Amino acid sequence: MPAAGEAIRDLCLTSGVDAGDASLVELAVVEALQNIIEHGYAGAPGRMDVDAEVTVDRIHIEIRDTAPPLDPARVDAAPEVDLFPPDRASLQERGRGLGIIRSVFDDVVFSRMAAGNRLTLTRRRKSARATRPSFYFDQFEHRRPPEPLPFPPKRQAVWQLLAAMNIGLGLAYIAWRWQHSINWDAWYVALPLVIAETGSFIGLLFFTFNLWKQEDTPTAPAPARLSEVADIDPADDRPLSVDLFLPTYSEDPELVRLSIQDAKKIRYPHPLDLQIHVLDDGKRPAMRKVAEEEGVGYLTRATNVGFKAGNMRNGLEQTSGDFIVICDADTRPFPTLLTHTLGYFRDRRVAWVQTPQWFFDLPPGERLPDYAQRRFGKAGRTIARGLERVLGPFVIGADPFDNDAQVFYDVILRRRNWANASFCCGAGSVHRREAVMEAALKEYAEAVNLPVERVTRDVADAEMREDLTAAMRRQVAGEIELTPYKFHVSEDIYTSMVLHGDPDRRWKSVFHPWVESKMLSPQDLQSWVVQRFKYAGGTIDITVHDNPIFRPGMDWKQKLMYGTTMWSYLGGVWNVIFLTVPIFFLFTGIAPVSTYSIEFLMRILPFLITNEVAFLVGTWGVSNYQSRASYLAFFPLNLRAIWTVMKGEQIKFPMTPKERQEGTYPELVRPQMAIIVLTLAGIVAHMVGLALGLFSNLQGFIVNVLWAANNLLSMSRMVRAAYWRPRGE
Amino acid sequence: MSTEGGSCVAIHIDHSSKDDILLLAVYDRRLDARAAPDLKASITSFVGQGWEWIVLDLSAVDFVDSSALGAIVSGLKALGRSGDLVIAGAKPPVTALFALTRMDKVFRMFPAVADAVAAVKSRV
Repeated sequence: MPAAGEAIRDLCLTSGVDAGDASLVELAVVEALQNIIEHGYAGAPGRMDVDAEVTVDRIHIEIRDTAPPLDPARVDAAPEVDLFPPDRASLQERGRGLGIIRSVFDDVVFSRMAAGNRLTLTRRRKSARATRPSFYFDQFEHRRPPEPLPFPPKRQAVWQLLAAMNIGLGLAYIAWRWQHSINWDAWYVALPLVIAETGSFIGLLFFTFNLWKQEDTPTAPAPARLSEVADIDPADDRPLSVDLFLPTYSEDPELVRLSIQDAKKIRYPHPLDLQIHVLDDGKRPAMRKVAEEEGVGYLTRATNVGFKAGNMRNGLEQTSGDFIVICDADTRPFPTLLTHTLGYFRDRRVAWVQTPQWFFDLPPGERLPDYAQRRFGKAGRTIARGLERVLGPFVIGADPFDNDAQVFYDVILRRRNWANASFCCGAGSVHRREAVMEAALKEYAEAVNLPVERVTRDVADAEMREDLTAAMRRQVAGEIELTPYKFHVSEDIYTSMVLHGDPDRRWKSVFHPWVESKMLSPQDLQSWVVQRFKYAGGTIDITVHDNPIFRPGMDWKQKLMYGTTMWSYLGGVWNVIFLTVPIFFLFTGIAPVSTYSIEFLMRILPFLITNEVAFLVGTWGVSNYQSRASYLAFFPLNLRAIWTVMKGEQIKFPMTPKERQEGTYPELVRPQMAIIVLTLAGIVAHMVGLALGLFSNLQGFIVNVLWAANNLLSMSRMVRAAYWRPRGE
Repeated sequence: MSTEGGSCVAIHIDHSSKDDILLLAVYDRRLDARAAPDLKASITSFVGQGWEWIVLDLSAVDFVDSSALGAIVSGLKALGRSGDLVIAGAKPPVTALFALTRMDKVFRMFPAVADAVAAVKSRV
C-alpha cells in the first residue's frame, strides 16, 4: 500500500507536479486505500487496483476493489477537513480519511460496480488552478486518441476482390458511354459529362491503387547511441541528440506554453540530448518570456523570408541535433513520441517518420433527442427517440468541417507505406537532419547549375565556356536560396518529393500509425477554407511547375501514389460538371446521355453499387461519406486554386488561424448556395414542364432528381458549416 | 546566433591573409552539425569585416557532414555577388561528400592552398 502511494507520488513528480501537491495526493490515496481495507474488506485480505494519470491540468486516480458494496451516501456525507490546522494535534489520525480525500481532490466520485466499488478522484493541478488561462478546448483535455484502424488480411482480400470487380464494371461502363450513349445532338453538354466521368474514373483507378493494401513498417526498439542509426566512426559514438521545433508567428504565447510543457515531458529509455526551441517569427517579447520561464530555447531571425519553411531553416542552422521534431505552435507531443519513432531510423535509409495528426478538439455534436428537446421541447425528444430506435443513434453537429483526419492518416497515408510513398505533413514528424540537409544541398546545386548550363552549353570554345561557367555560377550561387524545407506553400509534400526522388540515396519514409501528439483543428469555415486552399494551390503548383513524376528518382509505385494526390486536385473540374449537368437537364429537358433507359441503369447501377460496397469494406471503421461530400462541395475553392496557378499568381494566404474567430461565413459558400437554389428551382420547373406536357422524359427526371439529391446533400453540409457556432455562443 | 550553447561546439579556425585574400584554415578533425553554427558565424563575421576573397583550407579535416557544408554555402551566400569563397586541400572523404551533394559544381576546389591562392589572385 505505501508502495502504491509512492508510485503515484513519483508519477506526479515526473509529470511536473510540484512536490507539495504530490505529497498531498500520496497522502490522500493512502488514506483511501486504508479506508477500503478497514471498512470495505473489514481487515480481510482483498484486491485493490489503482490507476493513475497526470495530464496537463489534472491528476486523475481510479481505485477499484472487490469488497462488498459501500453506501455512496456515506462518502458524500464526509466532512471537509483543514489539512493545515494551526496545531498538528488537531489533525486526527482516524476517522477523517474521507475528509482528507475530499479536501485534496476536487472531484470524488464513488460508484458501485457489478462486483465491488470504484472510487474516482480528480484534482486540478496547481498550474491549472492559478496561472493557466482557460481555452475553449479545456473541456476536451481528457480525450484519448483512437487506436489505429484495424484492417485484417481477410477484409483486405475482400476489398481487393470488390475493387477489382468495381474497376471491371467501371471500364465497361465508361467504354459504353463513349461508344454508345453520347447524345451528339447536345454535344456541348454530353461531351463535358463523359469527359468528367472519365476523369473521375481515372481518379478512381488512382485511389484504388492507393488503398490497395496495408503494410506497416515494423517497429524497432528505441536506439541508445548514434552508431545504431548512422554509419559513424566508433570513436565518435555518443547518445542521440534531438531538436524539437515549435515554429510560431502570431499564436497566443500561452497556447504555445502548453506545447512546450508537453514537449518537456517527452521521455526516452536512454540518455538523450533533447532541446526544445521556440522559433518565433513574430519576435514577440511575450513569447520570449514564456520560453525563458519554461527554460527552453528561443530563436528569431532578422527577416521573415520563406515564412514557416524559412523559419525552420533558421532553426536548423542554429542547432545541431541528429533528429528534428517538427511541430506546429499548437502541437502537444505525447511523452512516448521519440521512444516510439526513433527506432525506425535504425534503417539508415529512413529520412523521416510521420505520425498521425489528431485533432482532439472536434465538436462532439449532440445526440438527436437532446437536439430535438432543445429545439422543440419534450415532444421533439419523444419523436427523436422513436426515430433513433428505428434508425440507430444519430449525432448532429459533430465535426462540422470534416476535419476528422482519420480517413487521410489511417487509410490514405498509411496505405502508402508499402510503396515507400507516405509523405510528410509537417506537425508530428521526426526528420533525420543529414537527409534533409543533404537533399537541400543537391537541390541547391541543381538550381545553381541549371541556368548556367542553359547559357554555357552553346559556347563552342572550351576555355571560354569554363570561364563563363565559373563566373556565372558565382553569380547564381549568391541568388539561389539553400532551403532544407522548400520555400513553398506546400513545403511538406514538396520536401517529401525531393527526398523520395533523390536518385543516389533513395530515402525512405515511414508512416507510424499510432497517434503521438494532439493538436487543434480549424474552428470555423474561414480557417478551414484558408487551409484547404493552401493544400490545393500548393499541390497544383507543384504538379504544373515542378512535377516530380517526371524526375528520374522515384519508382513507378511512388509516382502513382503522388499522382493520386495530384489527380485528386483536378477533381474540381469534374465536380463542377457533375453539379451543373442535372440542373441543365432539369431546366431544358435536354439529356447528355442518349438514353435514360433500363439499359443505362443496368450499366451504371452495378458499377455505383459495387463502388459503394468496395469502399465501405476498404475503409471499414471510418465514414468515407463525409470526406466525399466535402470533396464535392470543395469545388469552388478547387477551381480557384487551379485558376490561381494558371494565372501564375502567388498562392497566398495568411497562416491557418488556430483560435476560433467569431461569426459565420455565408459569403464563403455562395457557389454552394447557388447550386442548391438552382437545383431546387430546376426540379420544380421540370415538374411544371412535365405537367404541361413540355417535357416527357420521366425516367430521365427520376435519374436526375436522385443525382441532384446527392448534390444537394453534400452542398448543404458545407452551407451548414458556414453557420456553425459552438453551443452556448 | 543561437541563444543557447546546447550541444553546439566552437571550432578552431586560423586566419591569415595574402594581399586581399583571406586564408581560413580549419583545425578540427570533424566538421559536423555541432560545428556548423560556429563555422557559419566565423565565415560571415570575416565577410562582415569586408573580406571578399576567401580560401577555406580543409586539409586538416577528415569528415564534413551536410550541415557543415550548408554552413559553408551560407558563407558563400553572405558574400553576395562580389568576391569568391574557394575550397583548398580537401581530403578524399571530404571531396566525396562535395561530389555526392554536387557542391563540387558550386565551389571551386583546389588540391593545395597555393593553387587556390594563385587561382583567386589571377582574378582579383
